Amino acid sequence: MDDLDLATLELARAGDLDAYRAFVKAYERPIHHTVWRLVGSRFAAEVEDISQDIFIKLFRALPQFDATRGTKLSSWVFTFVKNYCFDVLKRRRLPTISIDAGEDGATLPIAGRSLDPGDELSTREVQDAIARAVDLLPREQKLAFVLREYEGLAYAEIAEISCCSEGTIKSRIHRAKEALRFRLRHLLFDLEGEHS
Amino acid sequence: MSHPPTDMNCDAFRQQLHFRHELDRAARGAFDAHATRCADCAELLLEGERLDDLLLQWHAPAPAARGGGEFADAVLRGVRGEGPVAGCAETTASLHHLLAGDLEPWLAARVERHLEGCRECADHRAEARQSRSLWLAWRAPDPSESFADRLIRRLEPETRAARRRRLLLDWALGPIHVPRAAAALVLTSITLLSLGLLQSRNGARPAPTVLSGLNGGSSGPVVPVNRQTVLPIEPAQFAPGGRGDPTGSLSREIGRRRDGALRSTLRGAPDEK
Repeated sequence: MDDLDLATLELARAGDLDAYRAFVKAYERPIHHTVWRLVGSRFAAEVEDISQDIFIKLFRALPQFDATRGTKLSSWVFTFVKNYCFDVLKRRRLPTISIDAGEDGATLPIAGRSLDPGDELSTREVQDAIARAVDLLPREQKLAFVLREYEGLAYAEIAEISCCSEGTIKSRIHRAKEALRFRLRHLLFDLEGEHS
Repeated sequence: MSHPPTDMNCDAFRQQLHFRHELDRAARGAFDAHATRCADCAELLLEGERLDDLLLQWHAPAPAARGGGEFADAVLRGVRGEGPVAGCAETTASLHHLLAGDLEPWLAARVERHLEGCRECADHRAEARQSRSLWLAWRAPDPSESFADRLIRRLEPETRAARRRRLLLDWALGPIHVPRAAAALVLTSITLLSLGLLQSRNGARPAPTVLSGLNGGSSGPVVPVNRQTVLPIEPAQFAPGGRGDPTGSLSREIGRRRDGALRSTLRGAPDEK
């Protein structure tokens, strides 16, 4: 994700609609995707509204962004996304254990069927299983995992957004992936059985 | 001629016991002199010297040569990725970073070497690779086509206000141009003139300022006040409805004296009742 050039940013701050539209166009997909992945399927219907609210907050806070301090625009933007999403999750707290989870809340069995990664990975069931598995992650792990794997942010940037060290971020991502490997094991065994 | 070393007490001696080699000549002389006189401190000095001898015998082992090579060669082999292999714990901790391509090449090589020989860790890697391909296939829906348009519409009043603010700021803080300055001068003059005209047309005669500070600084002409006749007003009198309430009792007082009594008060004459 390329940061906008400073001239466009300056125009957007001054209320130039075209410049702000460029800002929205650059960030609408990353923000929308991140919000969708962070707040999960529980607020799927509200993701677009949440994204709009974030953009409005960003517009109001834009004059406070100071690129000369060395902060990347993307880090600044995703800090807003993180704060807003965590706030949404806190305000509308709901049980986080999926009804499909086992007693330990770890495994997510899928109806026994053969899965071919070639043409069926995008099936609704698999997508839902991944969404539920990610949804079970602690929010800080989920944030680090989503920003790294889907938005391609650097560890240093994620560390800045999460206000912790790079080492902590690496550790969170590792734990998130191990948890996903464990929770999606059922799917993986199906895949293995199919191929062997 | 050498001066006799100054004496040192036992406390100072003990403080300097382990730093005796760093003392300057005079201080060392005093230190030694004290040791010759004080048996306890001499005993301490002896113990200290024994301790030094003991510590000097403690050597770190020389780097062991591995595989017939020298220590430096072993380091270089490690850097080239030919060095020691990682253990199972290190491999498990590094697998996801290895698959994501985030490991340093020499670390990746250590882990890869371990994976070649460890069936369990190799299985772990295969599983991690499959789960990775699974979650990477997780798609998030795109925002609707009209997302940006709706957002811009929602923001339009705010962007308009921001533009106006910016224009005003540019105008105010921009370089001074003669036409701009002239326009500002003309505008100010017109405003002042029209205010003056309005005031004279209304024919309003502003009330004389009797007590400066009590009339809220009205713009009427200031009438000289005989200070002796103006009674000091205490703060308690300013209580609403109180005796000295400037908005209440003073106006009542002025009304009461409208028949000339006020004027005489201002002149300093005694109030005629």
